[in-house]
Amino acid sequence: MVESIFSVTLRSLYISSAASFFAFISAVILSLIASRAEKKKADAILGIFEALVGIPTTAIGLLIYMLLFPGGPLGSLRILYTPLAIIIGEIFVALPIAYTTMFRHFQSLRGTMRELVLSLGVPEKHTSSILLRELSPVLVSSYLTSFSRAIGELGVALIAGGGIEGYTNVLTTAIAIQSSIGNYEYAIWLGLILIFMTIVLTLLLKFIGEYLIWK
Amino acid sequence: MFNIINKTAIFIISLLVIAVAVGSLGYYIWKENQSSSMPAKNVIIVSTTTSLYQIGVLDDLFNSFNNLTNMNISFNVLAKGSGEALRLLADGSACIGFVHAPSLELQYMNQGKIERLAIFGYNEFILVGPKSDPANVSQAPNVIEAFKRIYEAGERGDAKFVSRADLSGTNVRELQIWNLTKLNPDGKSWYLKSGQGMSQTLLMADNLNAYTLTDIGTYLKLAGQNKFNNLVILKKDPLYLINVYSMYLSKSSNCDNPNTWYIAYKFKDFLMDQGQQILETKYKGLVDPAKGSESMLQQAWETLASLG
Repeated sequence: MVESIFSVTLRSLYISSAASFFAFISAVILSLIASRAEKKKADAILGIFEALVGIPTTAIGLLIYMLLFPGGPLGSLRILYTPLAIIIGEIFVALPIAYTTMFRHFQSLRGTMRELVLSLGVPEKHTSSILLRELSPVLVSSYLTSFSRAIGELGVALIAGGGIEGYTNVLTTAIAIQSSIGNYEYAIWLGLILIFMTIVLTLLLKFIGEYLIWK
Repeated sequence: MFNIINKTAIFIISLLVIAVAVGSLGYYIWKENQSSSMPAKNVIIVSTTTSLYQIGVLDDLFNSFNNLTNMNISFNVLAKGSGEALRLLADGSACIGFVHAPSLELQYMNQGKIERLAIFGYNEFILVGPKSDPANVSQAPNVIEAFKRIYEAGERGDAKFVSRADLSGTNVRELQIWNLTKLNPDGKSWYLKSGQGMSQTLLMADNLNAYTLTDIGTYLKLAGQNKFNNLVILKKDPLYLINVYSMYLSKSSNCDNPNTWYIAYKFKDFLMDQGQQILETKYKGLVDPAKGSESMLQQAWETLASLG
């Protein structure tokens, strides 16, 4: 009757890696653009994102619900209670944290690089790739933070995803629903898997990141 | 310079590869699940109270329905409290609902947002509490008197009461009974609001030596798994504690299509015919079939709905 832990775990991985990936890419693009802007504007944007980090995921879930439910503005898309709805919501969950963990580094490095570039005569079009290369450890950890935030959040997955068995049930919703019916043992297993997975993925990506930098 | 760009590229690509590899594996499994169990056309979203989900009766009914009619419909179940389940129905986020909160049901029906298809089953709420029974509710003549005794014992500091405080069917009934006692426990230090599902609330009551009101199905299910240390049934009251389960159809435009209506009515017919037998043979005591007590249940429903 209860869905296998294996398929819940895979679904969880798929949904949160997709969400954190999109969030990460948009955060990188945003950072590249914003680090060119003047400092005041960039700080204002950063301030907004810093504030957004603290929004409860339940609130984001409710907003996504109000957007996607049949009477809502995007109700005609009929994507409420699908994995896509969770991915969209989790992008909003992961984006602020990805942005705030990487932007300061972009800003300060671009400052020092400006002089370097002028003195060494590096073409302007290469500065972005130098930035990305220099910041790769930061990027790795910011990707990981956003991934952990996405895979560990419950509000969006429960409200916009519904926790439908065999369809939108992810680790966190399974933990919530199973513990709400008193099945604590199963919920504990899922919790352990969640912790184990985030740790393994973190280590794996850290190693890859370091290898690339020092190679 | 090229070297640097290469490394950047490798880094980005490796991130991409990981994301895509993990993602596609998950996607593959998900897709497979989807194609085997969900032909796109016949998906119907069902909201239900957690008690029915936990007892496992809905899964059983859906499976027999599919077997019997060869329709292969996938019922996507959202397990929520009755308050939320009804809200989802009113929004059209779910099209069929199974709930047990007559006064809320009446509100939504009066607003023209939902339509009742059937009262299909019932069981009872029970007052549970610690074996020692500090408020002596087991000797109370009825549940209203029992609640009064809990209030007095609570004021003396001898008893606690855990409320779900989530507008679920059980919570609504509890509030109705407090209303009948003319006492207001809200804000008292012995009146704890869990805000959680029935099972968690029961386990909380067990750990805190507190009283709580529960549907009998959830209690028996957990008691059968030996989850309780000292939580026992203290008071039953068929007059005030009957628990009526009804099936609803959303009248939202989202559900207003022949396919959904066909499935809903077809399921209702099944539920009131073969479904009643399934309840009778497999779930007696957890959810009793409505068959044979229709008028009694209708009357009980109306009384409860009017209690507000």
